[in-house]
Amino acid sequence: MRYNLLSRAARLLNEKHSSRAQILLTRSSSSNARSELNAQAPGQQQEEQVTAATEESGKLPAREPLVKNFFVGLADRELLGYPEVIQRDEMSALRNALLPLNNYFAEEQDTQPQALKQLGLYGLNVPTDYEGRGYKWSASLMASEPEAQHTSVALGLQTHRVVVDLLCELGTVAQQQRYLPQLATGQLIASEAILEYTPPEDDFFATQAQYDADRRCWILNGEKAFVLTAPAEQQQLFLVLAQTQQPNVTGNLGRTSCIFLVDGKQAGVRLGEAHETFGCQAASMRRVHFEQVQLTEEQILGLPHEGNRYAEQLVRSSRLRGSLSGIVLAKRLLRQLATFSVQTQQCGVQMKDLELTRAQLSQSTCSIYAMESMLYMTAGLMDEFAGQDVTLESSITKFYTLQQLYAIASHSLTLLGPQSLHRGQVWEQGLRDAAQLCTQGESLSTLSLFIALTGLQHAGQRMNEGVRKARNPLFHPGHIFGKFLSSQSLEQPKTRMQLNENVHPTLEPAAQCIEHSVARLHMAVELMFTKHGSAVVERQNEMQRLANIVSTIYAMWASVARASRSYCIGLPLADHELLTASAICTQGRDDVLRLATEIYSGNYGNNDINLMRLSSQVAKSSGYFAVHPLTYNF
Amino acid sequence: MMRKLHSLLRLQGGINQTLYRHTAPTISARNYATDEANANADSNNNKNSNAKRESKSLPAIRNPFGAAQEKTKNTYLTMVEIFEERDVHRRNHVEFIYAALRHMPEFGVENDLEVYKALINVMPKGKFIPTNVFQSEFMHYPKQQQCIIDLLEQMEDNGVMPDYEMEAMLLNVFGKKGHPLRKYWRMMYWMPKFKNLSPWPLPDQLPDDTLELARLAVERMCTVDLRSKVNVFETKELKDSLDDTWIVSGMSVEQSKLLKEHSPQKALYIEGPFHIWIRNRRINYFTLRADADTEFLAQLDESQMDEDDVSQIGVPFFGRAPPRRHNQLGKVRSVHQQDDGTIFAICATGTSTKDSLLSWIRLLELHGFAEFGQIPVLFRFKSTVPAKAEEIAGPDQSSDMEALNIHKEHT
Repeated sequence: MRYNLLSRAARLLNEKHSSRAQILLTRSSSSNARSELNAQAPGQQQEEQVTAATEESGKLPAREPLVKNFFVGLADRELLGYPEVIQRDEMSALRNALLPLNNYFAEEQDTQPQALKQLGLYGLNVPTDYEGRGYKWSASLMASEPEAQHTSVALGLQTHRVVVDLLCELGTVAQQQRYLPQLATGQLIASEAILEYTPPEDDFFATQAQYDADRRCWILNGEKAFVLTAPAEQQQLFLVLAQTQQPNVTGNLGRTSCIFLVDGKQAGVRLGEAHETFGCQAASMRRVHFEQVQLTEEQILGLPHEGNRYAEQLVRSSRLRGSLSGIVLAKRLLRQLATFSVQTQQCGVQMKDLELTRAQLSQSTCSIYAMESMLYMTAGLMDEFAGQDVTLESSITKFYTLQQLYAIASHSLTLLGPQSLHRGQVWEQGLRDAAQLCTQGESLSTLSLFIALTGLQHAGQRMNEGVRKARNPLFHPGHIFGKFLSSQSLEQPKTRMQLNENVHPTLEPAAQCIEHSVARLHMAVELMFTKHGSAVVERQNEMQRLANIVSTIYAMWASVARASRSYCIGLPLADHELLTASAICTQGRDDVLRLATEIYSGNYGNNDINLMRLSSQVAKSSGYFAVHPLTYNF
Repeated sequence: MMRKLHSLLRLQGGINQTLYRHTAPTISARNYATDEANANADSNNNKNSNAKRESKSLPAIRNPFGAAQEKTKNTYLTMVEIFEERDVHRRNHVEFIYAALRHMPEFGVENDLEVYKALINVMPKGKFIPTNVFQSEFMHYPKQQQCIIDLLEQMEDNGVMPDYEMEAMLLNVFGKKGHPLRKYWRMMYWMPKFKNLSPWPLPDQLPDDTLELARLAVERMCTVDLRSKVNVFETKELKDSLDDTWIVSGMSVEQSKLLKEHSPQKALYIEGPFHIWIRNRRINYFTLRADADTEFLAQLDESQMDEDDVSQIGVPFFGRAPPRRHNQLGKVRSVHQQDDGTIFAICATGTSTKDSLLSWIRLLELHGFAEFGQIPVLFRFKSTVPAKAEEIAGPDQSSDMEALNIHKEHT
C-alpha cells in the first residue's frame, strides 16, 4: 500500500503546479517517516510495472476498496484527502463551457430536444476521438448539473450517458466507431431497457434471446417497461438486457443474461403504451416490445452470456448519475424551503426563527452536503485510480441520496401544510419528482440489501478463518480466550486508525466519531457472522441496519474529507462546512451506535422477533387482522 | 375432564373416586343413567351424589318429552311452561330438568341459550340461597345444585356460552356462594378465550349442503399455501363420466408449477380416502401425489452445507430477490414437497368413486394441465381409517355421516 501512496505523491509532485501535492507529500512523508528521495528504492521493479500500466490511462494504481474495508474494520486514511482530479486549467475550461448550459437551463422552462443537441449535452462523456467532449466521471457529473434543474430532461440524458459509459468500457472498437459519433451528436439517443413490468418468478427476465445457429444471429423476444424514450422522429438505441440459455448447459446453471444494443428502427421493435408516471411527467416512459428481432453478433455488448458480470458496470454508472439528479433536486427543494421560511410570518414570528424549522433546514443542509461530498468523492476515486472498486461507494451514494431526498421533500408537507400539495405548484412538483426518483431503477430496500451483502461478501472472504474458530469454540479455545481477554466494547471501542492526522485539527472529534463507527461496524459484522454463519444472508433486518450503518459512515467520511479540504484552502463559508461536517459526524456516531446496539441485542432484544411473528398472521389474514375494538364476544 | 373431576370431587368428598368417568363426554353418548343395576343398588346415603342416576328410576313421572309429537323448540318451551304452571310447588323439578336436558338433541335445541335459561328458570328463586358459612360450604341443596351444574356442563360441552342474564338468574336461585355460580364464573373465564381460538373458524351454523362442507374442508387444508385456489367442477362438463356429481379441487400456483415440472416417466398416485372433520361432519378427500423427488431434496440437505463458511456469500443481481442460503441456485423447497411425497392437488368429490376421481383428472387436463396425457396416473385406495375412526368415536357417530361418504374398499 505504501508504494501506492508514494507514487501518488510523486506523481502529484511531478506535476508541480499543485500546492495540494505539497501538502499530500508532507503528509505522506510524515506518516511514513521516510523521505521522498529514497522512497523509490524498495520494490522498484513492481512499482515500475504498476506505473507503466497506469501511465497509459493516466491513472494511479487501484487501492484497496475503501468502504468494503470498513466491514473488516480498516480505514484507508490516505483517502481522507478529498480527490482533486480535474486540473486547474481543465477546471477553468470546464467552467467556461458550462456557462451557456447554466444560462440556458436557468432561463428556459420548456427545453427543446434540438437545443439539447446544440448544447452538446449528448456528447459530454463521449471520448474526444469520437467527437465528444471527453469528460471523465467528475467532469461529466459536474457538467450535467445545470440540466438536472429539469429532472425530467435529466432522466433522459442520464440513461443516454449510462449507455455511452458502458459502450466506452465494454464496446469493441468497431462498436464504438459505429455508435459513439452518432451518440455524441445526439443523432442517436440511447436508453436502457432493463426493467420489466411483471418480472418472471424464477428467471431474471422474461425477455429472452436465443441463438439461431443457421442464420448466425440472435432472436430477441419479449417486452421491457419504463423505458425512457426520445421524441418520435428521433433515432433510438436501446440497451436491452435479455435472458439467455448457455449452450450445452441445461437447467438453472445455464441461465445467464446478455446485453444487446438494439436499434429502434429494426424490424420487430415496437414502442408500446406510455406509462402515466407520478413525477417527472415531461419524460416519456413507455413499454418497448421486441418481436422476433434479429440481432447480429456485433450487437452484443461484451461477451455473450456474460451480462451478469457487466451488470456491475451498468448499475454503477446509473447509480452515480441518478444520484446527481437527486442532489440537484434536493438543493432546489431546500432553496425553496429556506425562501419560504424567510418570507413567511406566523403570529408575528418569522418561520426561520422557529426552532423546529431551523432544525429541519439544517438537517436538510447536512444531508445535501453529505450526498454531494459522497458523489464527487466516488467519482474522484474512479477518475484517480485505475480500476478502483467503487461498487459500495456508488450504491451508498444512491441509497443515501434518495433516502434523504425523500425526507427533505416530505419536510415541505409539515412546513407548508396543504399548499405543499396544490396541483401545479413547485412544491407539489418537487415532491412528485422526488418520489419518482426513489423508484427509478432499483428499489431502496433491494439497494440496501445489496450494500450489506456486498460488504458481507468482502468481509466474509477475509474473516472466514476467525469466524470458523469463533463458531467452534471447543476446537479453538485459544481464540475464544483471546476474545474474552480483549476489552473491546461497543460503547468504548479501541481504535488505532489515527484518522485525525489526515484532517484539519478542528475535525479531530469528527474523525474520532468515524473511527469509532468503523470499529462498531466491524464488531457488528463479526457478531453477525459468529451468530449466523452462512445463514447471515437471510437476516435481512440486520443487513438493513448494516447498510444504514455503512452509509452513515461513508457520509461522515466524505463530509469530513471535503470540509477539511475546504477549510485548509479557505473556500467561502468553509467554517460552516466544518460545522456541517461536525454535525453530520455527531449525528452519525449516535445513529451508528444505536443501530449497532440493535444488532448486538439480537432479535429478542430489538423487537424483530415480534414483528416476524406478527407478519405471518398478517399474511394469513391478508391484511389487518384485529376485529373492531368495540366488538362483543358474548 | 378436569371440570368433571372437580365437580365430582367436591360432590363426593373424595370417597367415590372410582366413579370418575374417563371417557370424554359427547352429545349423543351422554347418558345420565349409565348403569341401571348399579343405580338400583345405590343406597340412600349416597343418594345425593348420584342424583342423576336416580332420575330415571323414579316412577310415576310421565316424560312429556318422549311423548311429544312435534319436536321443535316451540313445543319444548311450551312443555317447560306447562311444567312451571302445573302446580305451585313444581314438584320433581330436578328430574324434569334432567329429562329435559336429555331430550334436547331430539328437539334440536342443544345449542340454544334461551332453552337453557328457561330450564334454569324452573328452579324456585330464593329458596336455595345458603344463609350461613356452613350451608354454603357444604353444598346447600346438593341435588338441585348438582342438577344445575350438570346443565351448565352440558352447555359447556355444546359450546354454548352463558350470558350475564344467566348469572343473574343463578344468583337469584343459589345466591353468590352457590356452586353453580362458581361453575358459571369459571365457564365465563375460559369459554370466551376458547371461543375464537380455532385458526379455521367455521360458521355458527354449518351448512347442510355437502358441497359447501367439502369446500370448507378443502379450503381449510389449502391454508398451508396462501396462494391456493379452490375450484368446483361439475362432472357434466365431461362427456364420458358416469357419475353426475361435483368435484372440489384445491391447488396452488406452486403446485401447478411442480406438476408441470414433473417428469412424465414417474407415475402420479391418487390416494385416499382420507378424512377431515368439519365440526361433527366427516369429509372424505383424495390427494394427487408423486413419490418424493429425492434427488432434489438431497440437494437441499442442510447437513451438506458448511454453516461456518462465510467466504461465499452471493450478491443479488439487478434488484432481484436477495439470496437465501438454499436459493443460490434459485431453488427453495416448497411446503408441498414433503419427505414422503410431493402433493400436487387435493379434492373431494360428491360420490368418492373411482369414476369421479377419473373425471377430476380429466377436468384438470381440460383446465390447463395437458401433461396428464403422458403421465401414468394410478389409483391407490385405502380405507383403514374409517374402521379406526369408528373404533374411537363409537358406533353412534355413524349416523352423522353423509351419503357422500360411500366407502369403497379398494386395494
